[in-house]
Amino acid sequence: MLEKITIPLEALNLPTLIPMLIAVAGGLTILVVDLFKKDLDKSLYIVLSILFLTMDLGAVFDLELNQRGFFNVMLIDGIAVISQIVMIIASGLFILFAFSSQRFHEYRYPEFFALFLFMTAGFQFMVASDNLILIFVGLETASLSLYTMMVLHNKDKSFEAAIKYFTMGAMAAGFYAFSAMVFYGLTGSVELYKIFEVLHMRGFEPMILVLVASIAMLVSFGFKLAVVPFHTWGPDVYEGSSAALAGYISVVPKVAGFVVVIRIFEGLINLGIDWIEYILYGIVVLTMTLANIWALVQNDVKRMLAYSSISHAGFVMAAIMIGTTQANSGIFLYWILFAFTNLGAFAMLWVSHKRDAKYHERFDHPFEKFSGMVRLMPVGAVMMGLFMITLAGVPPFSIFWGKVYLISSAVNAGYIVLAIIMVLNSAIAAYYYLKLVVHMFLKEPITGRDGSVYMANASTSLKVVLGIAAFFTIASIFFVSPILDFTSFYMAMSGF
Amino acid sequence: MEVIAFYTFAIAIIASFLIVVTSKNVLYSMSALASGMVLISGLFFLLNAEFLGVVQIIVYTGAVIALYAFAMIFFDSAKDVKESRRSRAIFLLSTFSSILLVLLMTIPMSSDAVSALYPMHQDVGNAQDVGMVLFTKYLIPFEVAAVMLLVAMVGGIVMAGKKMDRYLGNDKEEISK
Repeated sequence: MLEKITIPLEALNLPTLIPMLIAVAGGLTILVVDLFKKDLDKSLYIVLSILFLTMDLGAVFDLELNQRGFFNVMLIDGIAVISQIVMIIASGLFILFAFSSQRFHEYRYPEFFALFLFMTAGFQFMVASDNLILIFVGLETASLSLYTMMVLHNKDKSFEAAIKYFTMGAMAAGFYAFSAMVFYGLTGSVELYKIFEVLHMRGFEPMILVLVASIAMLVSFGFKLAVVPFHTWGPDVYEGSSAALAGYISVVPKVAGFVVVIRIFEGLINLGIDWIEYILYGIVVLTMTLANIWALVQNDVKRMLAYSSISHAGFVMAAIMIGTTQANSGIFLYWILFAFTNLGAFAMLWVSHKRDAKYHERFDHPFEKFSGMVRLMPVGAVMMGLFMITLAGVPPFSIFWGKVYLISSAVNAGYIVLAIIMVLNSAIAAYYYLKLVVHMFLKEPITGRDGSVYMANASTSLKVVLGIAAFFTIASIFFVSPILDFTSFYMAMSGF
Repeated sequence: MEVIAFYTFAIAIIASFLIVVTSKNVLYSMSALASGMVLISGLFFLLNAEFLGVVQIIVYTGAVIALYAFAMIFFDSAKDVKESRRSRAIFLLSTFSSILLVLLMTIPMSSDAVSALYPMHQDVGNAQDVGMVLFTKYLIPFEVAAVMLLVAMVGGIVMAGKKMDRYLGNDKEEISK
């Protein structure tokens, strides 16, 4: 017989689990409320979601740093805390998109909001662990919810998008499992710190297997983060899902992905495996450059934004590759700034969503839709223009500071060529963002239209979201330094 | 003796999974998948992991039977399917590369001893051992997997629900196209 083991409750360190438990409990509450009373208005569920997300955020702020819990499976370090904060705030803002004035199919389902909270919990589990099994389970929980939420939009295109995302996601999961298996076979552990320890102790022999495992892991997260050459699903998925969900996909899942990539690949690079750095270098350059070039030829604003967010992800991957403390604190600075700007851009697309309005055979938001917008709706055009030039990285608006910081960290770390490529790419990117600005400010409007088209889906809360995004974008010059202190503090706490 | 059993199982597993990927008839593929899964459990039994062997049979073979039902619903199984033999080059190439991959993976692994984080205890059955690790060290992943299954269930029920068809075609207010 095995001897009986007793574990004192304090040893489990329950508080590490509280934020995720709040999100899961929120999802269950919504399901139960729906059981007792059918056909409640969506606003109740939106408010419930925001309530639980707020409690979740409070619990995250309450966490003590650098502790482990539940037999060392949970890991609360600085990077786990800051990524959870970013994800929860972004989720809270994106769920406000559900307060649209038109009715949409997905918001009829209370399950939509329950899945949303489960998804948040999944991403939180993913970032708050260095155990490959928990990362995997968290990732799959979140992905399954996301596929379903995409389908609930209930259009041909959204089915197509969800199936594409699902197939790619399944493949990524396969690669992840394969890679975890090889790491386990090599080291006898699924915990990253232990894996690194054993690999280091044995001098990375057999090298070929470390290579196989790392490449499989890279492919897996390449799919999840949509970096070139694994990006093919990206634009289709953005096109197929509603602008609200597309905005969410472009920000939150990527934070979780970045955290895992930082944990795995910075660990491997720090151990001194050079070729991982070379592979990442290639991927970063390809992602930034090719995504920008493809974005140039898009006819649809949403697809253009999809390629642009791929290219922005390339910038962040560059920071992960550089791996100095400066670059690492730049990652979250860049992504917070990007999140707010992208929030604004997708909110503009979302408020201009109008049923029956047909501008193009295939696309919902072709460039022509916004022709001459400044004459019909000056405020909207100025807002959209603001978000576009911010995404292009024009000073003094928010993303400019992120770019400057990342490029300076590249120069400081001695990656001069990479810094030049980053600058060149910012220049290329300006072209396609300005294309939309040109359409809005310099073209004639399509005759027989008035400005109401651009606000067809607006409601007070959507306007508030737009206001928050615009304020943050313009006033970012005052926020950059506190945010940077904040991110640097948390990154330094977790030793990156 | 063990070696003979291992190679017999290994060859049978590879053969049945080859049928899974190469056959064009969905019922052949399904049956081969089921037999492959059962044969894998044989490897577990050889390694004295009875518990995992039984789980393998129950979980995977059960899943395959569910798949079987779906295949019967979705595909016309009475139809005669011609097995294509044209892609012999790809077949040979993929066989070769998979053998190479397996060699690549296994030779270095078997060469040096890797110590497991949770070694088995000698005199206890491995169901107890697995249970002990699963409900201490891996308690959280186990519970999160439960949440994942809940998500999959909610998602499945929502997507298969009647509301999805009703609004796709006729609710003017909802559909913008």
